[in-house]
Amino acid sequence: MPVKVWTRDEEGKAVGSFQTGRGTKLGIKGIGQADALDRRLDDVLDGAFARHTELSRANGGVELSRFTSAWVVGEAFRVSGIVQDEALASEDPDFLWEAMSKKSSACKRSNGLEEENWKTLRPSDTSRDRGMDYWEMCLWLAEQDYSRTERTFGGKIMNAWSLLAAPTLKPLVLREALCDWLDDQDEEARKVIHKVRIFRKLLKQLRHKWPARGTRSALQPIHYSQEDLTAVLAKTIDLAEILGE
Amino acid sequence: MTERTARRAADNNVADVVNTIEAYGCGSIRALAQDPPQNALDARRNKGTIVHVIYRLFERSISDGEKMNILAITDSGTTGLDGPILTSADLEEREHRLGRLEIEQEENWAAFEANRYTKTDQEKLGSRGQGKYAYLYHSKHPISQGGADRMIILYDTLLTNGEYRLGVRYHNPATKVIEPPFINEDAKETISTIYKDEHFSIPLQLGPLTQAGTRIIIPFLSDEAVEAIQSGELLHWLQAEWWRAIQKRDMKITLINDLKGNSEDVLVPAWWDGEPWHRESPNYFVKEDIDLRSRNRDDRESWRIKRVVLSAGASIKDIEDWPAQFNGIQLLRGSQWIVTLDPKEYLDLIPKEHGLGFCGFVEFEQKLEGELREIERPAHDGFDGRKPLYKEIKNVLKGIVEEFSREQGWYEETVKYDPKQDELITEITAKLGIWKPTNPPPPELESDLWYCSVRANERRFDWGDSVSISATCHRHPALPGEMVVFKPSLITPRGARTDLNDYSRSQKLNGRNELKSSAGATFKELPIHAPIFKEPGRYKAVIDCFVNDDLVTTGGCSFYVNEEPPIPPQRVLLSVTAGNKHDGAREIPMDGELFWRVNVRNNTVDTVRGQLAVTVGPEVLQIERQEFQGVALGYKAEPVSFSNTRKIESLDLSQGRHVVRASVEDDEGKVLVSGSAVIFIGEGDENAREPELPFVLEQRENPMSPRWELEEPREGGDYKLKYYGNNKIFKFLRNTANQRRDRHPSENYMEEIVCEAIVEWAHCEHMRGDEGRMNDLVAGIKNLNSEAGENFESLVEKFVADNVEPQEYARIHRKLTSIIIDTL
Repeated sequence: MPVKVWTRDEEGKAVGSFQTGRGTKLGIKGIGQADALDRRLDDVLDGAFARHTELSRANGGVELSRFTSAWVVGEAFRVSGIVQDEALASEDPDFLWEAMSKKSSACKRSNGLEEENWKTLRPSDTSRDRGMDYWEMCLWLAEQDYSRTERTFGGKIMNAWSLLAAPTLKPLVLREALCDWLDDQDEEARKVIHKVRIFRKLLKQLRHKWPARGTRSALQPIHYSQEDLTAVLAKTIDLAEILGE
Repeated sequence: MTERTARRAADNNVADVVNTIEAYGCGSIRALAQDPPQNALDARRNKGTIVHVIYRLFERSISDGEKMNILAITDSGTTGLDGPILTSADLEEREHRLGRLEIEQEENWAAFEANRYTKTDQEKLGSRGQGKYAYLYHSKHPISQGGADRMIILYDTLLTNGEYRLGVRYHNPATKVIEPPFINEDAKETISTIYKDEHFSIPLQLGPLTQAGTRIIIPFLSDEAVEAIQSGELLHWLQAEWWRAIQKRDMKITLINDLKGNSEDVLVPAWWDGEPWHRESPNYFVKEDIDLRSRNRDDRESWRIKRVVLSAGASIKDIEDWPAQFNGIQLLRGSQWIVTLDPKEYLDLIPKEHGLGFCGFVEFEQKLEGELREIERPAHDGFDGRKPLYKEIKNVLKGIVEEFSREQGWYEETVKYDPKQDELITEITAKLGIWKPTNPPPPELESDLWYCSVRANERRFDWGDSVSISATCHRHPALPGEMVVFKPSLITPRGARTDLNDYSRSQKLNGRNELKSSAGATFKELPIHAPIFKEPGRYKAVIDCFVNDDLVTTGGCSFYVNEEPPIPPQRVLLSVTAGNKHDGAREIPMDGELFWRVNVRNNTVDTVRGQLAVTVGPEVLQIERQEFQGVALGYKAEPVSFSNTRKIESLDLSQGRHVVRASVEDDEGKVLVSGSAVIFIGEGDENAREPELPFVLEQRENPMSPRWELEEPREGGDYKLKYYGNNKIFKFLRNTANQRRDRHPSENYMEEIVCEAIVEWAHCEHMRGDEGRMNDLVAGIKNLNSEAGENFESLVEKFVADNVEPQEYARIHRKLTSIIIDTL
């Protein structure tokens, strides 16, 4: 199915073009579906911005942390159900994220009007290829409720990116189990574990347990219940080594 | 007063010291910056202690108002030069008794005084006393105007038990060490006044050490060393060499210059200060925990690069006199800089204009550091470039630099996709039957299962020996009373088959229960001589089992005549087969049934106990504890087979591609072996079904690429066969006008590359413990040409052997490739 991708031309004018994936031909029907999807993306981005502003206000007008901002945006995407849009059926999900990121940076609504607000939703320095688009990361982050995801990563977006760098550690059940395991640690230890450098050490031990390539167990995190996985984590994580004791 | 004599410490002399230090690639000042802190770190009192090394330059007046420059290098936080004081008689007696001079771990004083010794249980570089040459070298001065050169160093040490020692060593030109050394008050008295003997008179006037540690005093300090301290060159080398140890708070280094009246601490360079790679900055690129293909010989664990940090250096390239030792990738071992890989090594990846600001460093895991120490040059200034481990590290780094360069937007490799080439791989892999499960469906899924195991009494025979073959035919479920006829034949090293009808045997099936019945046969001994055995090499005994004139099963075993058998890989191996129960195909309809079979082969001598797990997507298909018996060294184990089926409807699997994975883990959760097979579920969208290829093809255009290169998957991706599109032969063939041939010459070229890479790919998988791909390959060749297949199988046995030499490996690789090409 095609999507509408907004870019800016040499003169800085926003231009929309229709793109298709998987060698699908672009037809009249497809153009109609892409336009409909583009209108829906307006709503999704507006919804995310509204939620963002609301929380920022509730926070006394203080700018949301990068972590909270990412979760709020992801939550808005999740609630909108945009990923399940019929136009995207059997398409590569990257297609959606590309269309959305370009649309928000071009600040172009489907009716042709400019929308500067959307710029605040996506940090400008997210061009680095981490194997997942920033929007997709937001959606992934929002798979957990805010309180639990905040406890899992210590409210640090770098920790989330670090975990995402290991494909075998992505499943929700692992984050939930990790949250339970962290809840079992004392407050002081948790603070230390959530330091970016220390969290990486923890992930290193988990990557060692579930490497992405080479000789590896057929039993991946996804094959365990949350409770069993928490027990496996407790057995796998060598806290003394992580904390350099 | 104690009478002191000078004894010879060893046979070295001034020339020996000069030759050794001048062979250091980076010169004598680097040696002075390298060895004292290294010795201090080696003598660190305990892990948490910060070792402090102080270099102090000062002068003393000697006769006629002349001045002498002296450098004192003091370490604290160390054990000091402890251990017993061994006399020359002690050392000679020990050398005579052991046949070589061996010094125990704790005998640090003796180690510092002796030369050309070995430390017990330690083969550390530098442990043979080359470190002290760095000090001696800089005290070189003529005995008299225009006379021969001599050298001297003094060393005092305060031990943790309060004992104080002062020793003297000189090369005049023969090497002497004073005996006995000054002890306690004698030592303190000398250090605070003057050292005097028949050759030397050195005013020291130093305070005794107040903390446990060691001080090396270099009198008659060379002009070169003084100049290096005055100009900052020594400071620079100390920084280049030890910045990481300083950053990790393992060490502190201070340089005190009494001539200038200043003191400076060696600092971490600005661009690495505060470990900026931990912060989110586009200027820094970090990769951690990178497994190498090379493995530890003891535990077979992969060696691992701990961390690679690269920096685009946007802010550092403007630094004046940007030091060459930082420009490139520093390889660190034990926080010590060993060598820098020049940006010129990455000319194709780092554009010239960015080369100057490009810097980085690499740290290795402890076990790998131990291995690197083995291949390090004695001067600690590089590694032996011929060693495969170092070559692999450089290759891995090149891949990482490529990734970094791509991220920086410096490098965009021209990758051309040519669907024709994919078709070629598809055609070849389809012909070879790679990834295809057995077709027709595996026999164990039929109601009657027959199989036959065959054994020879030895693996190796010589001319004139006799081989005894025995076979057992099994049947599930039991069918007692049926007569099995065993018909043996022999396959020669060239692949020819000779029937041995005279050796046929018959035996009735019998069994104790309903599950299984068996019949066994031991054949007449076969003498190893002509006409059956005509040449040395691998022979295979094949036993066909007939029941009522129908062939029900076949088994075989190999042995070697007048040739050493290859040692099967001493590992646990595993293969996975999965597909449609109905027809054996990989495609399974939604209402179909999945079968899987996992073969585990324990080729080690020990019994392995562990948990076998089989999964597909989120589903666990099988999980059970198992025990796998070992085999005698040099024998190949019989596989233990596990198979079962499940209806697709009962599995939570969507339409499309899925991977059936199996693994065996030991009781500690360590994965011993794993393997996989791919299946497709449902009819699905043809477009969504990606072609299942062993690797994807990428055409590279950048210069300096090899003809082809198989890149192992990163983070769960595909293998990549990268071939160089600008290869002269390839370009010529591609440009050649269409000729009247079945196939364009460039396709033949590509076919050869693909076949070579298929062999390497199957070998890579085998090295990881998954022998399924290699088995597919053998079966595929046999299906196309049984004689070539036997030859292929024989070569594969040597190819995967533990004792295959590199040259032999390359030769077999070429042979296997040619068999594939001939067979296709």
